[in-house]
Amino acid sequence: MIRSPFHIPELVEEIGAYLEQEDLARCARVCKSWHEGLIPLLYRNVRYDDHSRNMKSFWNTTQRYSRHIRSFTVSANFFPKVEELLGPECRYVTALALGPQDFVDQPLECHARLRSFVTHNPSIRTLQIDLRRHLSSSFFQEDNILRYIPALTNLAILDDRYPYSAGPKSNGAFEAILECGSQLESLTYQVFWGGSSDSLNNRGLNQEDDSKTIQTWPRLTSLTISGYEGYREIEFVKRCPNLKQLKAFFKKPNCFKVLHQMAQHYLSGHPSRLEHLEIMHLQGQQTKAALEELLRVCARPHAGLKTFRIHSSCMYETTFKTLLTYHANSLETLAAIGSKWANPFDLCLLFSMCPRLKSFEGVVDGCQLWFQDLVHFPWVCNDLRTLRLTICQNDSSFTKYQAVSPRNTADEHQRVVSTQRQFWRKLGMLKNLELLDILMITRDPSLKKMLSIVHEDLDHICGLKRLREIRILPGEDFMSNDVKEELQLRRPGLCIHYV
Amino acid sequence: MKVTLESSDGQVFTVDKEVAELSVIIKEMLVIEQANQDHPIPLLNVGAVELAKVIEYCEHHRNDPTIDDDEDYDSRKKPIEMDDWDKQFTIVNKEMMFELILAANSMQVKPLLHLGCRYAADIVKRMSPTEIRDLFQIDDDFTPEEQDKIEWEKQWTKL
Repeated sequence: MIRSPFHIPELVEEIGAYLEQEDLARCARVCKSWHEGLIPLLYRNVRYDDHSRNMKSFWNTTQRYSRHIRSFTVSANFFPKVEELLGPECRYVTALALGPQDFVDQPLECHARLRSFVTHNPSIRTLQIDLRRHLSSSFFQEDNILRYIPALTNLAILDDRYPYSAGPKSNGAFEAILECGSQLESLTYQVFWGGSSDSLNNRGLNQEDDSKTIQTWPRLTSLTISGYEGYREIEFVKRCPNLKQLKAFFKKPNCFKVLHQMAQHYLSGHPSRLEHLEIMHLQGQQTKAALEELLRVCARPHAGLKTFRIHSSCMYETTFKTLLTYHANSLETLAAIGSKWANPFDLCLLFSMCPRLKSFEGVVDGCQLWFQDLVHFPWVCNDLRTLRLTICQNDSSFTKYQAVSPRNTADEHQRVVSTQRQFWRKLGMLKNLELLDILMITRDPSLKKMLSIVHEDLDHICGLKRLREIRILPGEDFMSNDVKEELQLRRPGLCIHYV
Repeated sequence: MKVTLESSDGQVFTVDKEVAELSVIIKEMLVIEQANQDHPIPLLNVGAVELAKVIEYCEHHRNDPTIDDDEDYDSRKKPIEMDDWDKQFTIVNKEMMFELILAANSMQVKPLLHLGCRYAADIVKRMSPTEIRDLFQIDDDFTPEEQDKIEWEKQWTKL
C-alpha cells in the first residue's frame, strides 16, 4: 500500500482546489470518499448559459448538489426559474453574475425571478451586472435589484453605448449605487465606448448643495470608474475618503475633477490610504496640475503609492518628478502605457531612487541607455522583475550629448562599443530580472547597434539567473548566429524574440 | 529564541522559534507549554528526513506574509509563478513529495501544504478514474446503483 496524500480524504479536498472542473469530474468517479470530498468543489461554480441551459440531465444532477453552489452565472436572454431548475437547496450562493444579454423574454417575469433568487440567497456578497449587450435601458428602471441584496459588498456594473442611439443602458444604476454605497467595499462602474453626459443623467445632481453634509462610504476601498466626462462619478469619489485603489478612465479632459476631488479628502485632513492609482485618457494642463496635487497630498511618511499606471501621453516630466519625490520609497509598479509620450522617463533617476520597484513599463530616451548619470548615483533598484522599454530618441538631448563628445568616426565607434558594454553590464545588475521587452521607435542605426549582444555581453546576461524572456523589436542586428548559439547553450530555457 | 523539535524516529532539531511557528500546530503548542520549553516538541507523524526538509522550507520562507486560507480559495486554480527556490525544492521523487505533503499536513505548515497539493494535483490531471485507481491502489467501492448515478458527473467534461 502506497502512503500518499491521495488516501486521506481531507487532503483530497485540498488537492481538488487546484483542479479544473473536468479533472474534478473525473476524480469524483474514483471512489466513494473522493466523490464525497470533491462534489462540493465540482458544483461550486455553476453557469447557466445558452450552451448549458438545454442540458436537462445536467441540471437534474446539479439539483441534487445545489446546496454546494457558491457562484452562479446567468448569461442568457432570460432568468431561469431557479426553484424549478435547482430546487430549494440552492441557498448559499455568495457571488452572482448576470449578462451580458438582456432579459428580452418576459422582462418583468425575469426580474421577479431574479428578485426571488437573491432573497433566497441572503449571503450574496459579490454581484456583477454586465449590460453591454442589452438593448433597452430598463434593467435598473424596472426595479432596484440592489435593495434586495443585504450582504452586498462587491459590486460591478459594466455598460456601453451600443446601440449608439440608445446611449448607456444603466439608467437608474447611478441612483441605485448611491443608495447602497455605504455597505460596499469595492465598486466598479464602467461605461465603455464613452459614457453619457446627457442632461437626464445630471438632473438632480447640480442642485445638490456642497455644504450639505453627504454621507461617506468608509468601507469602500476600491473604486473603478470609467466613462465620458465623469460628472456623475465624481459623486462616488466625494463619498470615498478611504480608497486604497482608484482607477479612473475617462474620455474628456475635464474629469481632472475626479483627481481634484480625491485630493480634497487629504487636504481636509483625512489620512490617505491610497496605494494604487491608475489614470487613463486624461489630458490637458488642468489634469496635470490636479494629478500632481494628488500625488503630493496622498503621500505619507512611511507609506505611499505602490502602483501607478498612467497613459504615456500624460506622463510629463514634472509629474514624474513629483511621483518620485513623494512615492519613490514605496513604488513597486510603474507603468506608462502607450507609445505617444509627453516626456521620456529618466531611467537613471528611477533606478537610483526606487528601491522597491518590481515592474517598469515606459518610454525612455535612447541616450538614457548610456546610463551616464548612474556613475554619480547609487543603483538601488535591485528587485526589478519586469522591464518594458519603448525607446524613442529625443532630439534635443541627443544633440546635447553629441556636442560634448568628439565626432570623428573612430571615437564614434569607440563610444558605441563602450555604450554597448555599459548597457548590458548595467542590466546585469538587475539580478532578479525576469522579462526584458524593448521596442525601438527610432531610425538611428547606432542605437540599434548599441543594444546588440556580442560575446563579451553574454556573461552579464547569463548572470541574470531568473531571466525567462527577452523581446527586442525591431532587432535585425540584435545578435549574430554564433552568439545566439552560445547563449542558447548557456541558458537553455531562455526565450529570445527578435525580428 | 530557539525551539527543539523531535522527529518520530527520535532525531532532535533546533530551530528559531519564528521558523518553527510557521507550523500552526507548533505555534499552538508553544502557547500552551510556555513554561516547559526544555523538552523537545515531539512530532509523532514526521520522520527525520521529512522534518529536515520541512525545516529547510520554513527557514527560507520565514519572512513571508501569512495568507488567509479562505479568502483566496477561488484564485488557487490559477497557475502561479513558482520562484526558483521553490522549484528547486520540489525537484524530489514522488514518494518524498507525498511524505512532505503528509508532514506539512500533520504540522499544518500551510504554504508548504499548498505547494505540495498543487504538485499532487498536477499528477492526476487528465487521468481517467481507472488510471488513478491503479496508480494509487484505490478500490472502486461504488455499488452498481451509485455507479449509475455518478455517470452523470461525466457531463462536466462536455461543458
